Amino acid sequence: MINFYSYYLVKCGYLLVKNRINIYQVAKYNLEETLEGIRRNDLNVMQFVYKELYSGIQFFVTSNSGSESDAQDIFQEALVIIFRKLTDGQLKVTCTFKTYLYSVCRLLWLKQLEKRKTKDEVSIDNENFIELTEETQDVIRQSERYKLYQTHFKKLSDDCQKILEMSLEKTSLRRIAEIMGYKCEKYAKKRKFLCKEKLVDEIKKDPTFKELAK
Amino acid sequence: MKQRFELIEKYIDGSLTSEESNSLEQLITSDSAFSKEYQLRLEVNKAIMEKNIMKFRDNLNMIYNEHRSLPGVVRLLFVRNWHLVSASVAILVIIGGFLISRLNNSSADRIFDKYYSSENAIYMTRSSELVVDAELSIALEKFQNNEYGEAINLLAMLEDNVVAQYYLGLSYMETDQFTEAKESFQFILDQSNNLFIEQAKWYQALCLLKLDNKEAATELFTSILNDDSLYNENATDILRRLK
Repeated sequence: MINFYSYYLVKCGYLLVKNRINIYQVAKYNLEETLEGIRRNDLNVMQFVYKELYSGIQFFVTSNSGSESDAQDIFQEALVIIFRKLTDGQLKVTCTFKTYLYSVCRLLWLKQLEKRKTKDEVSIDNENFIELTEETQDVIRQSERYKLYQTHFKKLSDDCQKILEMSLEKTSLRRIAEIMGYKCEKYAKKRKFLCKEKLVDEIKKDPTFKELAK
Repeated sequence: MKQRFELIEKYIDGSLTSEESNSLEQLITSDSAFSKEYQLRLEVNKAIMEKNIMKFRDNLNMIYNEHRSLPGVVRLLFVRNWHLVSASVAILVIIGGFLISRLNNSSADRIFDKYYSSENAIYMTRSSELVVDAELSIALEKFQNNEYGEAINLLAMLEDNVVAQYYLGLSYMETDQFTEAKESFQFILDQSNNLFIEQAKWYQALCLLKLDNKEAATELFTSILNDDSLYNENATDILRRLK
């Protein structure tokens, strides 16, 4: 019994500390600081955003025919899109961050519903939202494709990932052979090509690839 | 087909002759399937180079998994803030109870010795494992291992962080630097809306006691009483002994 309570008190202690940090910083962060934090891939800021705004998105998705897992995907993708736009210097937010994030999530979920042929509108809107530009929709489409490519890239063996990365960083074949312990440049060249073919092949076999190509 | 792919890859790498490149470019403009293949391979290369995006996704997954790893009961407990406060009450009542049991003497030093206790070790250990901020995590580990000097050096750098300042105050107290400790707790008191206010007030009052500033300490203990703090009982007892 003592252990049980100790365990939960520990967990409570953790949450107390952590939540209070969050509340303190959320209160401190304005829109610009939040965006800058995301741009810098700042874990604290991302954690605040997650803790403060995820439940609203989860409610929205699960109230509109989605699961918790769908909500998680949508929330993450929305943040990736915001991150992409921030790093490209494209993002101009004229509303609150909450409204902007909700608007991106809403659009992503509408697209998902359309793909699933469930319906093309949401019945419950629990936040204000804005209409997003065509430019943002392009970023969304690009992000979907790149996510697929990156997912399969990460499934490659470590040496394949390394070879492809090095060759794209313009490392010479001789150097790649040295680093990877291959006997000659020719073999490095062959491995590079085989790795790339394996990657492209896996991407093409993924049903999502065909969906995205439509 | 393989040869075509190889040709595209060579073209992307820039290892074709200018003549070969020209004929390939013509193919790209005239053959839509070839063009799509070329575009796909270009995009795949760009995607591979997006290390920042992949890192960003990893971080989001980490945060999500951390969130999910919390036991359902605990998550449920903390859905509303009042539950959070209740949990803090539970912790503080235990700490408070422990402190009450140690109360005996009335001189300032003895009162301090009886009432002062830093956070319990289990709480710190588990907390530091989960705190995301690496610097804070290392500092809290130092604190937990009673390496107060090093903890102070690290925590002092996190000057805007309420948690860091709280443990900095405790570290100073552990090393008998009560003036500095008082300042750290003052930082917390100057911030509104944080959970360490009651603790900061309590520890600052103990610092004042140790610094022999009974008047200011009495004032602060009285304020603890007026706040209806969890330290009420202890503060009442101390005030009675200070008279």
